[in-house]
Amino acid sequence: MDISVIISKLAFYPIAAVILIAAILVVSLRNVFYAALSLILCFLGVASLYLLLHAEFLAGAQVLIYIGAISVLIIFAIMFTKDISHQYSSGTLLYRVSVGFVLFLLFLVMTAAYLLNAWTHAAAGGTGVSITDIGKMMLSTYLLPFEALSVLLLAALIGALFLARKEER
Amino acid sequence: MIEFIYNCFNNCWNFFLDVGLVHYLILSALIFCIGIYGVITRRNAITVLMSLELMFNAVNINFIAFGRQLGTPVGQVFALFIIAVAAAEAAVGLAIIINIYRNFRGVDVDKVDLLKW
Repeated sequence: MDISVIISKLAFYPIAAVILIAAILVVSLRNVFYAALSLILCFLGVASLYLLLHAEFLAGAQVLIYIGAISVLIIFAIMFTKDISHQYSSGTLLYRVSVGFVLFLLFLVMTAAYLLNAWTHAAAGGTGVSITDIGKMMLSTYLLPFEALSVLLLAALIGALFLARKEER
Repeated sequence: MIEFIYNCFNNCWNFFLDVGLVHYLILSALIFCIGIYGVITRRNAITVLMSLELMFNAVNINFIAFGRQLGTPVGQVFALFIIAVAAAEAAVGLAIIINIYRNFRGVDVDKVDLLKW
């Protein structure tokens, strides 16, 4: 196997480590603002994972929408609502440990299913699908969901504005 | 015996080197479980929403890894739809959280129980 192929495959591990550490920080940090910052790091890691999967357009969309829009929205919301860092998590330590244990079992079941399944489809080689294919598919096969999605987005944003406005009396 | 251990080690090493679909699926399962943990245990509504975004990302990784494996653009198209829906969800959710903050002077999800019997 070519050495560059091996390196690009092994680049998965450091990226995965960054994503996992950032994700654990998101759910464990006491300060909500720091949690939001590590969420941004997690999004960045996922974007580079998309690059590894040859989904360049998705990586760009991830950076633009998740890091550019959603993270800023979350940080805005943190600024609007006072940072209440003493409300850390609900329940006792036993509650959290048991939740973690059940989720660990869920993870084990999922992993076993993945490992024991015989994936019959061989990996598609080459550089993957191009953005042209995505665009054609969006405007032909998935035209109706695409348009419905734009209406949904408009409605959601107007609804968000309506909800968040100051009430005038 | 030694041969068995050697084979085991060799298989593990090959699994480590040959990063493929299964690795992405396992990573996505881990992120998903971390997200569920955050949704269940955190009390701050904003952190609950952030954990939800983690779960969205895990699902997206699954879609794109499968799309890569099968060589179709459908996975990426679905991931794009999910990103758009996640944006709408974040906007509405954060607006609701700001409203909750105005009414309750806090964003503790355990204290917002008006709809409880």
